[in-house]
Amino acid sequence: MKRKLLPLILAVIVLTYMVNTALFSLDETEIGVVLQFGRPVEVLREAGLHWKLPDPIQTKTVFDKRVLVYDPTASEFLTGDKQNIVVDMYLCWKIIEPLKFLQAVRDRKSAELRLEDIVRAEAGAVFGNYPLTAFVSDNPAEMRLQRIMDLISQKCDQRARHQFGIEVVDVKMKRLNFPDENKPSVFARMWAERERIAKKYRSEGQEVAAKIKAEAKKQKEIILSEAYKEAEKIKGEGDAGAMRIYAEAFGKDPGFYKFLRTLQCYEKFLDEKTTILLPGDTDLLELLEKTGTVTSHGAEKD
Amino acid sequence: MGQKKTNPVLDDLKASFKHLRALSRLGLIGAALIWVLSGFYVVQSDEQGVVRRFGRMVRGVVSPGMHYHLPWPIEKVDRPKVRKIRRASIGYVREGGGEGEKAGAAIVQRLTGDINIIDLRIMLQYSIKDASDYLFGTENPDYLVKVAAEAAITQILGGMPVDEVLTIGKIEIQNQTQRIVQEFLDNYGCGILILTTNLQEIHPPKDVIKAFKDVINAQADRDKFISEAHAFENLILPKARGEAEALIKSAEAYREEKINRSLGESSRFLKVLEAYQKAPEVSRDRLYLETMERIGPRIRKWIISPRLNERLMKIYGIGE
Repeated sequence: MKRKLLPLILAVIVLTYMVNTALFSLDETEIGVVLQFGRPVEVLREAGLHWKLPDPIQTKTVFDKRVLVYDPTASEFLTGDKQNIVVDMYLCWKIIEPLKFLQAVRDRKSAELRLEDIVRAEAGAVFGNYPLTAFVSDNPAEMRLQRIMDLISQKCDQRARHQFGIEVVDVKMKRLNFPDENKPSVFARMWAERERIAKKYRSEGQEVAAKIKAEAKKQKEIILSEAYKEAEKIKGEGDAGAMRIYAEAFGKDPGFYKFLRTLQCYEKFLDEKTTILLPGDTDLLELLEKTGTVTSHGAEKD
Repeated sequence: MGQKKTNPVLDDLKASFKHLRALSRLGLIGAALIWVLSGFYVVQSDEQGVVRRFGRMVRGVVSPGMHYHLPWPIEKVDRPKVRKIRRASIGYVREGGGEGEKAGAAIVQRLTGDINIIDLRIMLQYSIKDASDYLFGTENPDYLVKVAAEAAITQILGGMPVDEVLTIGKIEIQNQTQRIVQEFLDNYGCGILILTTNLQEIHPPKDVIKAFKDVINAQADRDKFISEAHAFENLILPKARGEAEALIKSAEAYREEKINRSLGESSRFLKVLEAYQKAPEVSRDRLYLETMERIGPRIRKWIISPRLNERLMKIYGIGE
């Protein structure tokens, strides 16, 4: 029995070992490479249960197949018009050819270092071809940031694919600014620009206000003078009408009118301050000295 | 198979082994039961289950409730909280410190289209759109939201003049950020849905903020000047219109008065004339005398008799 048991136990151990190292599962997030004595023989892209020859004949290496982010530190670049800018970029990449990746860089850390070198070189070359206004501009026709970044990712992708089996999914500019030592001059320019704009607003206001006031004054004069014109016309109508009516009536007996009017005049201009010297033989006083002739006089006049 | 039935000790041993065997069988069954039962799992109402069999996704959308999966090590379940609203802030100090920005900087700076510097803080809320993409698409989707938002902001502000950024642009910036970040993330296969983008703070850097405020004041001044002018206009024009109306009314009054007076006077005259013509001489004298009567009492009169007249003239030697 003992002689039978030992080989059995041995067989179980060997089997367990073989199963353990030959059967393996690959996660959704992983991509695997099977190596036979260090020589790659198979690339496993599908997740699930896989089989290989047991260690140490065949070994496996797995990599992350997800999109990875690399965020190198910001660095200074020179634009085409010789402006110093600080650019902070990030990089999305993933391993697409694990064999090449394994041979060229082996692990993530060195991959990222190489990617950083590539990005820096490509970005430096591309940025140098464009003036600052291609990065920031309020003119949409000039603004080409997206195209610039697409171009950089394209170039990085070409090199990374070829050299490391890496796909550069995207390179984006997180931040664009001036170096700290250049900021004071930018602020000074911003300050001056704001002052100019403030001045412009104020004088614009004054200009518009003056125009409105002048226009109002003009309107006032027009309104008043038109009213005056109208009023004079109306008064003239009154005067003319009255004159016509008077003429028509008084024309019937101008002599009598003059007589009546003269009497009215007397009433007006002979007032308390008036002193009249009446010679005793005036018509009015003619009877003062000769009495009793009223009736006869009246009769005479008749 | 072949068993010897001789040794009683061995039989005893066998009997007690029988118990032990039964016990271990029970234990084995129990363990198996526990193992089988361990496959039950609950997906909470804000979660979504994702089942992997030997690492390969087999069920991506397990809705909330009680479910069963093949026990470990065959299948395992992830239960990301797909309904949970997550936040990503830019311009806030985060644990773990400065990522690209200066560590401790509470605000981020960006360049505007007309090369002005602007400080801002922005906050995004997002949730998981696709659980499997969220789990397997990218390494760190939450970090990607943050960097993608920073890139989007750089791109958007870089195409806008500072005045627009500070005034009417806020909503526009939020909408565009949301759209562009979503576009970036979809491109990476993050499985994330941006829900809201909230521009919490946006203002010029403190070195120049005074000058910017003065521009706002200047705008207010401009409006003040203009509204003052309008006030002036509103003051003098109605007044002028009133004056004009008054002038015309008084002219009309004048006209009516003149005409009425003339009508009155002429009709009076005509009446008088009519009466007069019946007896001109008498009327003439009467009118004359009546007038004199009315005037007479109020004036001073010196009546000089003709004789006295002559005498006086002689005395004073005048009138010769």
